Amino acid sequence: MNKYLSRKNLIIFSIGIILLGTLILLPMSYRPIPITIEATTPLDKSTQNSVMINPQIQFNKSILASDISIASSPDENWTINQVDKQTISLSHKKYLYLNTKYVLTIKYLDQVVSIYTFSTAPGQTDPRFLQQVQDKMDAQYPLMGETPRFTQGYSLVYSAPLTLEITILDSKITPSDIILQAKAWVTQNGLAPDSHQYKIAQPATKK
Amino acid sequence: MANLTKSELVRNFGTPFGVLELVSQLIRHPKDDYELGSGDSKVVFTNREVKALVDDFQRNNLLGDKILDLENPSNYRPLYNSILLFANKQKESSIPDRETRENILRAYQTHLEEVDQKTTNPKVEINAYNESVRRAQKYWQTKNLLDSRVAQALEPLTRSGSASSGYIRQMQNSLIAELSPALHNIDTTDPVKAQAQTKALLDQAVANSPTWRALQNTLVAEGQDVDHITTNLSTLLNNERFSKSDTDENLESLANINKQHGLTPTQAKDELQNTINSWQKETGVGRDNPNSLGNDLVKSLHSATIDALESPSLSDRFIKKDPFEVRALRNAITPELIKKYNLTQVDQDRLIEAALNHPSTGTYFARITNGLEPSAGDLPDILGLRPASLVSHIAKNSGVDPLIVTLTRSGYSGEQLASQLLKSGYSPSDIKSQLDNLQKYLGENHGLIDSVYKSRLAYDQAVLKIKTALSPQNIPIIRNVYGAVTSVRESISTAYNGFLNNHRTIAFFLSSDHRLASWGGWISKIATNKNLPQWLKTGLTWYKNGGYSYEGFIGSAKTHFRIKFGNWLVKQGAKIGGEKLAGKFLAWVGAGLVAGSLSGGASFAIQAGLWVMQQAKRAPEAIKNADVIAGWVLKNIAGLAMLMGIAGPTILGAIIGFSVALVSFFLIGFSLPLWGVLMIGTALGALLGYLYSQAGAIAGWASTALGSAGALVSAWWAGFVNSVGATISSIATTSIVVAVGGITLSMSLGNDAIITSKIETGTIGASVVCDISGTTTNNPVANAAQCIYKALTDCKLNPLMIGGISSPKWQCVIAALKPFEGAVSQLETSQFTDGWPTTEKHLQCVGLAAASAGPGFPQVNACMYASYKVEGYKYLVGCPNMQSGDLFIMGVDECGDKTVGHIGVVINPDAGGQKFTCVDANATGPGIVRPDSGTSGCFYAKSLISGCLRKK
Repeated sequence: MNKYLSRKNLIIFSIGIILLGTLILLPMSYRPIPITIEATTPLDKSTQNSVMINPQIQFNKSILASDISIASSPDENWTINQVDKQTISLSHKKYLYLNTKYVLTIKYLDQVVSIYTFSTAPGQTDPRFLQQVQDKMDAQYPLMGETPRFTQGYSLVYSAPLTLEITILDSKITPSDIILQAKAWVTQNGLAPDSHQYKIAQPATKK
Repeated sequence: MANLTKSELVRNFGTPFGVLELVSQLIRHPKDDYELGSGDSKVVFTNREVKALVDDFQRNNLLGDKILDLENPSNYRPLYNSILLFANKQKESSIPDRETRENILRAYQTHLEEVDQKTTNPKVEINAYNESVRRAQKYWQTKNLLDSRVAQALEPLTRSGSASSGYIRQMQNSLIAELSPALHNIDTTDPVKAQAQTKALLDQAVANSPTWRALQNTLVAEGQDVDHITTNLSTLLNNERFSKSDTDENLESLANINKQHGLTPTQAKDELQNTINSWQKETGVGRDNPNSLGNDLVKSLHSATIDALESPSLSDRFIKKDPFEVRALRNAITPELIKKYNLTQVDQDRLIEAALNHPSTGTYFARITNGLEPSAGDLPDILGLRPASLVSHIAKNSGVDPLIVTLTRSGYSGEQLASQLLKSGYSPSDIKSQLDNLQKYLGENHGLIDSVYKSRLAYDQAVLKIKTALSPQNIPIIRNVYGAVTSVRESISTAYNGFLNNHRTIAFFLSSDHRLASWGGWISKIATNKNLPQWLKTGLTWYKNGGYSYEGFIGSAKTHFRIKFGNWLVKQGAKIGGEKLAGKFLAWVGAGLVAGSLSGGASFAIQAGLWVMQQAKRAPEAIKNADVIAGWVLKNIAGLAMLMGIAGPTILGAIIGFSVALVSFFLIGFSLPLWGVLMIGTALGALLGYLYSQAGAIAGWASTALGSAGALVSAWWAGFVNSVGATISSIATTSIVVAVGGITLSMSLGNDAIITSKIETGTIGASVVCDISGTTTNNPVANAAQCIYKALTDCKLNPLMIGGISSPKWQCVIAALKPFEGAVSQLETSQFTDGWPTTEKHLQCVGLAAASAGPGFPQVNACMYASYKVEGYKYLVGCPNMQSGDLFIMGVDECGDKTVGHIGVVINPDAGGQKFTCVDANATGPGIVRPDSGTSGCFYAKSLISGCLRKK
């Protein structure tokens, strides 16, 4: 016999082959149940949904919300919440767009599980737009509801975003004192005094 | 002569005010003798003794600052000792022993502590009061909802006309009575459970309702669509909105009420009286000293409360307007004070307003009463007038430099003014241009400026007079006023808490409300009677040609009128003859009116009924064409019909009263002119209406008996009308309609409203009157928007959901919006599509805008107006020179299927810098219409809008 094909070597080789095969084939023989979506609210491909709806997705097995990620079109800032072992809900800070088809790509551990779509209803009132307007008001004119403000020494209005225009009504008080008073008022309303600019109104058409 | 007793000392000196009262009297009336105590223990201070006492105070340094701080026992003690010593020295008696004196002082200190405890923590009481009001309001919301749901359910039956109005009414009452208790058994600890229970219990109640079964049998017999009506009721009762609104404290409140469901109005009133009595007992106000201010306050509180109880619109008058406090404060400024300080009505109002409203009032009075001058800012703040704001207002609105406005108001001559301005760097041409602008603005705004100047004048006068009134020598009086404020606040808080938290009280509302059965069907039948136009025409023609005039009985002041009319009634009673029932009755009513002892509700109703008749009398004079009048009344019948649901008992009373008046008519042998009889009928009607409303207090059967009597009288009345003939019937029917309108109007608006509000021809008969006289704009679109908000809110349809336009309340909106052509139909045709997440459709922003703009204004997605051609309007990018009545548009840049923008009506385009105010719908929640004022009102920055639609 060839010295390489000695019985001993053959046995060792065979054992090696068996071990190797086992190592390769054993994992292949274990077939995990793939993760799938069992149910959704609203239903997949449904229409006429409310712009306020928080979709719920039920999977076929236990998952952790932190393992799920969502890519959506149009883009939306979804927050993923765990409802129970198999179910998550998707919440959003803004109302959804009216009359819009949302396409959500659901991923589990960065692997695409499913594409889920639904559409919102059309309407004459646009809550999301109104929400955005209010956000702008809050950001640019946070004290608009408190203006115009009149005190004995000055009056104050918004002349531009984050800009308060002050008219001095008491000539005995200096502009710098008035601005200090205005800043104190802004602080009283829970904002940083430097969050606004302060302008003293000038007399009109003065030459 | 016996010594002063302990109780007498406590009585007279037991409070700082007692001491102050004595001292101030001694000081103010040094020439008079002064009596202390009574009976055997009476002490008389002679003029000489008084002087000695004052000297004694001064020697011991007991006047001045210390007298102002008597709440501090260390200050009080020497004064007390001094008075006691003096008093007993006059009687040649010894001072009470130490123990007695200590006891007296201790009692006083305890009293002070109690007062402190009650007055230093008003927040707790205010919170409790607010909580009570909130609960009461929640209760009413739920109760009204149930009533309206049942009414809606029976609407098909009413519309079909197959059942009599009496039958429908009976069914409605019975159903409400049977279904209400179900609501009371709901577990309120868990809102979710409560919702489910609400549904289940109402279903069960419907299933077990004998009334409903009887109704079904009748409907089957009549061939009606029973299934449809049953489904209708079931759906309405189980509506999601209903169950959602019935959670939490709302249901808790109902559950509490249920425990005492059967309480009569009399028992509720007794309970209230007990509350007041116990308050008197606890606080000592009104006791012992018959001349004390507290006594008047108690009387005022009591009578105002009873007035409020007798009014069907109790929730408005009682809860919202706080009549007690104002009334008691008015009493606090006594005739003596007014005379002494020559206080005008404005002065008094300012004092009351200051006391009621201003947060620094307490500080202000405290400062005054401690002998300090008020700070410079106090008075303008308290009086609500700021001189500087006038300059600012004119400068802002005219575009003229504030410096120039100020200088022109400083009394400078033209030369001085020019010199000042040139020094300030103005060129001559600028000065001329600025002054021209100012003159133009003042000319155009003469009314406004004039009123502001007058306000300023009033302010100056008020400051002067109040400063005089508040001078140190008048401190005791001011203290009395302030003391009254504190006492009243305390008393009101206690009374409100006792009253509103008491389930029996609320049960009284409940039982009263049950009796306020809907008479809508009855009035509708009159309204739709084909003979009515002819009756009205005949009656008005007769009236135009010389009806009885009762000029002289109506005065501008209600008191004047009341006394005049009361005397007149007494006279007519005497004419009839003292032995005859009608004569006695008239004399009694008249005397009651003169003395003012008739109940508030009854006298209000009488006045209001006559007021409306007076309006009706003027109408034909102003409008010669009887057809127009007839048409007007007919158009307003809808509003009357709606109101029937509010004042059923009064209407029944009016019918009975009117019928009784006609009996009187025969009794007196036609000696009274017909219109006089009609007036008496109105008066008696109101009175009997009141009696009817109280009938349930006597016994359950009384209510039924009066109801039956009402039906009999109605039948008798119909026969009578047929037999007497067209002329009498036409006048009578007109009178009933008018009187009923007046009475219901008075009941729904309250006395003050009927006397003072401006009621326009187009809105008479409706419960909601849009008075736009006080608004800042004359633009019709802006006015319409403001009135739509008011109409929807006052008619309880804000937010406006789609169900609202088919509810009985919609008639109220229709009547109120009559002056605005197309407003109602535009609201009705709003798309009511969903954008907000709700299952119920609702008014859209474009619906509100279109309703304000009037007929023909198209309703499209808001942002599309930028490119959509609207007849008579132009779109302006950025909305330059924004004006009142412009329709602002938002979201044009993003406009499309996914973003539809927003629209609303500009009210004040210049609310300060970038800010403008507006009226809009649907911006903060489904169907909500926002007003143009308040922190939750409609306002935006001009930079945030895309543009606006403006009338060409």
